[in-house]
Amino acid sequence: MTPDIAAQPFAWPVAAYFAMAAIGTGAAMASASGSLVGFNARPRLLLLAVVTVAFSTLFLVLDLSAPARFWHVVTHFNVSSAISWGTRAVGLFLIAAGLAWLLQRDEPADARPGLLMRALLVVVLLLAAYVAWYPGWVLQQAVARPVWQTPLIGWLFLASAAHIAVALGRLRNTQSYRLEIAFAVLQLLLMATYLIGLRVGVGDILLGRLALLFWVGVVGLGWVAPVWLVHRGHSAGWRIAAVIVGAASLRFLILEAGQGGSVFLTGS
Amino acid sequence: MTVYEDDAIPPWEKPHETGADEGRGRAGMVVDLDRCIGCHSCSVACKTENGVALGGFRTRVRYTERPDAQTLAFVPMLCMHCQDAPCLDACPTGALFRHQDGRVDVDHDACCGNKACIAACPYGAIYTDPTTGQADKCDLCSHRTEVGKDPACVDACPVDALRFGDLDDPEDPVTKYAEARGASAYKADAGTKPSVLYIGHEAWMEDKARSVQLLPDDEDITYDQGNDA
Repeated sequence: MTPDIAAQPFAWPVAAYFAMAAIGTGAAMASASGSLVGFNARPRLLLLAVVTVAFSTLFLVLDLSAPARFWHVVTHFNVSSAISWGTRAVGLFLIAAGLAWLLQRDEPADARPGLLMRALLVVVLLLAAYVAWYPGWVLQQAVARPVWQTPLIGWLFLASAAHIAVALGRLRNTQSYRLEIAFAVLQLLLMATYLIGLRVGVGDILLGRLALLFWVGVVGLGWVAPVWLVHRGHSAGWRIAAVIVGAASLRFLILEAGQGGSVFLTGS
Repeated sequence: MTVYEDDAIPPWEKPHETGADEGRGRAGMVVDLDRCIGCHSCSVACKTENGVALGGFRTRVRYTERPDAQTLAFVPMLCMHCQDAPCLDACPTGALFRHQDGRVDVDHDACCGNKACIAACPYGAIYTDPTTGQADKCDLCSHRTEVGKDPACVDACPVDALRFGDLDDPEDPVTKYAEARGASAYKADAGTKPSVLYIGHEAWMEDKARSVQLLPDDEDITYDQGNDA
């Protein structure tokens, strides 16, 4: 028996890249938005973002079946390819976030950024949002896979990265509890809309081979646990860990749901 | 590019008049499922002609149990050379490109093996060459069609189930044959406008293949040689 389409084009390094990019972009969003609204600048988060996103790209190279040619993705450009645009966005994000960290690292925590710095932080914020969102477009270009044929995945990934940003940002800002709950609810609504719109694969996700990952990883750890921990007044560290595990579970779930095999089995 | 010297071409392989050569027409193929006997001659000829590595197939023959559960249907599968090819959009390096006659081909110098094209193809027609790590697929034997010969699979088919021609030319015998027999696209709902058309294919064949795409462990009599990725 052979499925009608290639069973397993994307292996686990792709999901790992999605997850690490979400952490990095979340950290960048936390730092940039914190600076822009005038509190809690925390430029170290920018350094974390640069290191995490740069490291995450190694997973993409690892997934290439001709890794020695990874530079072709940089030197060639296809205007209709989501990966082409994403590669440029990741490069620009690393430059912008790195520059913002260099300029902010010696500033006092309560320093207000100047006009140029604010402009740079807006660029970092937009690029971070794009890098968090574009994996959804990459998956959507696999037109043979109905589970990925929705723009909701990109927005779900972006909401998940923003959830990480809020969790990281609230280390020093206890006012953002409601925001953290709001992003958990937003993801819940996006996921519900996504599942309602699916023609196939819903059973796999809710009751089948992916049910454990969905209910425990995505829903339990990613959305319910952080809210519960907030309610119980637990330390930020556990909440951040839960949100990050949930975000990673979400990406493994979506990648797995659109493919026939297991992301842990490298198809090539 | 001339591959064969005229003198080297045996009489039975003399160039025909209707092939869709580079630079004109729309190279395409018609697959007549009413004729196919599932002998795998096309797969074997393709592998031999193109030096396809072990574990990979440019042309496959899918066996599918008919609804009557008494007989099998045979469906040769290859790259459909779609006019709206999703692999072309997905490839970030431009390694997949289109010839002037519509054939979709791989520039192996540009491919880095990111598998976006494999994920995008609705027909499972692209695979990773295990020896190079790069994408590989049917190119309708461009080295043969450029000199006016048919693709190897067409030549090898003992029952003329595969026919190669210029689908833009209404006078081409293959186009006439396709029109007369009501050839249509496999998975037309994918919207990719394939240049490989099928005669005698029925909806249940597609439904059956689709039904197993997310459940690879299912026991089902539908099978073919397959490419892992």
